[in-house]
Amino acid sequence: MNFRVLSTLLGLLIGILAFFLLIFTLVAFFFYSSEYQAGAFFESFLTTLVSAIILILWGGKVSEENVTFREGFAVVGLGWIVIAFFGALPFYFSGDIPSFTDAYFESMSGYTTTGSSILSSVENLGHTVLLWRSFSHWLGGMGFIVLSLAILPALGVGGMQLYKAEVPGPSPDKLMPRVGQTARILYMVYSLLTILQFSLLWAGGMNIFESLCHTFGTMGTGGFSPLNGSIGQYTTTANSSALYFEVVIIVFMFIAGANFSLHYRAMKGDWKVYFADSEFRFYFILVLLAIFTISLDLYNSSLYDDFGEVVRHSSFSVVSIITTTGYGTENFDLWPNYSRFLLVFLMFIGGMAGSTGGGIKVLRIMTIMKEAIYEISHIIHPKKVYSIRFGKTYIHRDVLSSMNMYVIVFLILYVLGILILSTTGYDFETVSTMVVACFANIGPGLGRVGPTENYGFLPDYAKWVLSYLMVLGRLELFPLLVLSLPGIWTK
Amino acid sequence: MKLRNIKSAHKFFKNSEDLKPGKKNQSNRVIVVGAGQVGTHIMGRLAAEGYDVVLIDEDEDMVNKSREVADVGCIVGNGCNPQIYSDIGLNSKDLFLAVTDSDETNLVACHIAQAFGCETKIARVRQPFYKSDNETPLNDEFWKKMGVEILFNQDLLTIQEIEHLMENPGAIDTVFLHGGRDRIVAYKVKPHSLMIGRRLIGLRDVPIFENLLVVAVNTVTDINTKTSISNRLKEHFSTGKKSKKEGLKTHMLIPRGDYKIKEGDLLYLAGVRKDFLGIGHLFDPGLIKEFTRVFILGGSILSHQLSQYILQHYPGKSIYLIEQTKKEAYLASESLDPRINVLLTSSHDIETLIQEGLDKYSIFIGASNEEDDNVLTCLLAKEETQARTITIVHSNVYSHLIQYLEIDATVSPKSLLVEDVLKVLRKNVYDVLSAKEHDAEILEFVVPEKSIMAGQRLRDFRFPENSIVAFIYRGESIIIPRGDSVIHCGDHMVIFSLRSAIEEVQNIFLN
Repeated sequence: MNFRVLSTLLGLLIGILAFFLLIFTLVAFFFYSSEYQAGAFFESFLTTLVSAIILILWGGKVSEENVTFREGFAVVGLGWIVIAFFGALPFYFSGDIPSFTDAYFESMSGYTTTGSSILSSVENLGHTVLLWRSFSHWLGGMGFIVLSLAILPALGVGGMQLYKAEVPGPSPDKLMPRVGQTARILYMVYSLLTILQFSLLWAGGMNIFESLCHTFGTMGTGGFSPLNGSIGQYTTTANSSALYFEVVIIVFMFIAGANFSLHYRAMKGDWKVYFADSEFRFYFILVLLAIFTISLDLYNSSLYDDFGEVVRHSSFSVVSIITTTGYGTENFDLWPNYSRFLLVFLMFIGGMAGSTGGGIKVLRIMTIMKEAIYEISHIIHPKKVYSIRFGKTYIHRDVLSSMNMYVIVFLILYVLGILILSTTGYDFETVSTMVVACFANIGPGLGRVGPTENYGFLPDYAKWVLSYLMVLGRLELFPLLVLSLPGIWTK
Repeated sequence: MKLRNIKSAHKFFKNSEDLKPGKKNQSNRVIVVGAGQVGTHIMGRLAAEGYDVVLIDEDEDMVNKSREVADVGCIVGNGCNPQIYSDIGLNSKDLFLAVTDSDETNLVACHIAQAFGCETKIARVRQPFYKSDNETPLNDEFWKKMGVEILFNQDLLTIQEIEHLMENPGAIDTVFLHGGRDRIVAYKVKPHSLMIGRRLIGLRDVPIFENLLVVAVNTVTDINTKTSISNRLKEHFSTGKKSKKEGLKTHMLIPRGDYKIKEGDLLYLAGVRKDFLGIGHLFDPGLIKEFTRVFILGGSILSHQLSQYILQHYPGKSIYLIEQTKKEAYLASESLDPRINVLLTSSHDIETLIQEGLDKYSIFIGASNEEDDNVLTCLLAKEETQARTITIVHSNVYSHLIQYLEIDATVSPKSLLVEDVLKVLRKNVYDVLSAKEHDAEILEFVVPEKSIMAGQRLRDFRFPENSIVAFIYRGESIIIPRGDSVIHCGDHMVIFSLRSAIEEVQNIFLN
């Protein structure tokens, strides 16, 4: 491990964060000066900037030879932990979240696009802080490293390693010959969709502040809302556009849960690319099927009178959960058991590979299902050779075994997480859904962490464990787990 | 003994002018690049027919060998070396044939020949992506720009041939004319066949044979039918290749009406597609008309192409590709249609194949690059399961041996290629039967204006011995000739002729 290179790279990452903090200082100063938060942001900016400068000054020159696998993984793994730290500063300095543990949890929950909050009433917070909190979703959704690759050509040297480590999915597409170009395209598509959703919400009558926050939360599949009642608040306050907002958010959650390279190709005019992609078809059908069965379940339960109402709520919850966003319109914890259980299972599946969502990913689920079928038919055709195919593309055997291992490790860590957090003494439903909600970057679980609850009641150690699980889930385990191997730290 | 289809040659019949015999290419010089089996074979035939052949190959031994067997000019050198062509003064009138084993060498050689202004350039290729497809931008025009007038894809020819054999159950050999509408198909008379002992005369009064004409018979004389395969093989190996086949002699003849059909005869029937339906089992009572599974011995580009082709053309049939190495097996399962079942097993592991369903309702195709494997596995499959077997042979080493083995049909990609190339060069030749002792050809002629033939009945106008009119095309209609068919001016006649009679036949049409 070349610690000086690592230092430089981390310094650069933090430098980018400092830039955003500066912008937020200005926002606080010019738009929300009555809330007196500009000072907190400026302090955070200075702290971050100074840290960045120190790291870069101490660090060594980055060149093609000295950014290897090791440095790549270390930058990604440590980078996320460090960024969540600096991202938490405004919460702490502004005094909105007095405990640093809580601030760090909130910040990590933001960057990993989880959306779990320790706040019982978000509306007490300042607007700039809320905006910063939602903006962390946006940055974390497509990835901080991808952003750095897009704007810092210097990182391009070890870029593919960094890119692979951060982009969700077993083998991320490289849309362009250069990683930097690919990253720029991804951010361009991401930004265009963000602008589109913002305009639609704003045009529908949502104010600029809420539109921005909700758009960041949707596109990053995060789930932080600046309203206490999340998206459902528009219905309870009888906003005439509530249905419109929900529809826009459902559509954009669904888009954010799909592979962004598909969006890129569609934007270039090839609309057929969606249904030509078997993972997309599976994702689409899965969503429809879940909506359909949950609607039936809800309709039977006579919780709602109107079938239209049932479809509206079930589709919002299903899309919100499978894309790992975690926005709520209804408290699905009160729904009948089939609906609650199915939603928990959908949490594990998560979005498509190459999306901003978390979870195991649709592609891995499909692959494992196919493998299982092949393994069974191997009993009757012992000499038959199978390969996992999706249309014309196939999954190479090496990738396959690492995919299987991913799912196994995911489940092992899930069980371990439950075991560790069971020491908090809460019931199984709360603890098990709390772990998956954080690990798969969703947000709300069931029981005491249900859609209308928050994580504030947990002891500090539980918050640190959950923060670690969030970043593990966001980085898809291996980039972070590899840091615990002693081999990576040797010179 | 092989008959060929003529699809690729057919497009060169631009007008009836081309069908006139004796019309040769402008130049007499042919440049052949590649002294492998294909090259030497073509060179030998062309030299025998009066062309001046210049053979180019890098391998000095190969070139020297060719120098000994035929009167040709030989140059040792790389076929992609422009210096050679500049030295021999390659010009627009020369015929250029690039037939080395390497696709890329052939293409580059043609490209160089184009730069010299050479007009007729033929390249032999094997890779499936080297093909002209008029639906896509990679059409004939594109290949012309690449410098290739005619692209002979050896694997595609082979697949076509196998397809024809599959389409005619029981067939040993096929020649397809006019895109498969008219065809000459060879059947072997198996033991207990209803045909044994019948005379040809009166055969056409049987409804099923009404529109079929027996154009030739390849008959086995003095055969000791009691000899088992192993004895024959023993005999073969103990006596050596030169003094082979004592008491086993085949010869081809154009039968007369009083010919009596014997067991082991190979009958060549001319007719239209629909009339061949259900003919096969008359020659082989045990013939299974429908098949359910196809087993292909893999490990070659050809086998991959073949399995894809069969999948497309025979939907609903199970296709098994047998691969013998892990690498090949995964390559196949990753690149081919998932409906093709890839088996990773040894070619001799017939038990596994039987478990997967190899039985007499199956077709087994030996399509690997190892012909020993192809032949042996086919024999094994035949012995164990009575499956229909088709094997691909790459060299001539076994060709005379295979006809005594229990293999239903053999396909030799290289002979297919040689014959196709010759067909194109000789324009009016539909097909070449190229057994060693008795070559026969299928030729097309136009009955000239004011010919003495016009107005006569076939029976009265005596065609040369050892030749027979197989088809008569008059405008849109096809006539399967009988003795009382009348010849008109302008008729196109397809003539099946033994080599000995070819010259005589040509003379008739010249006058």
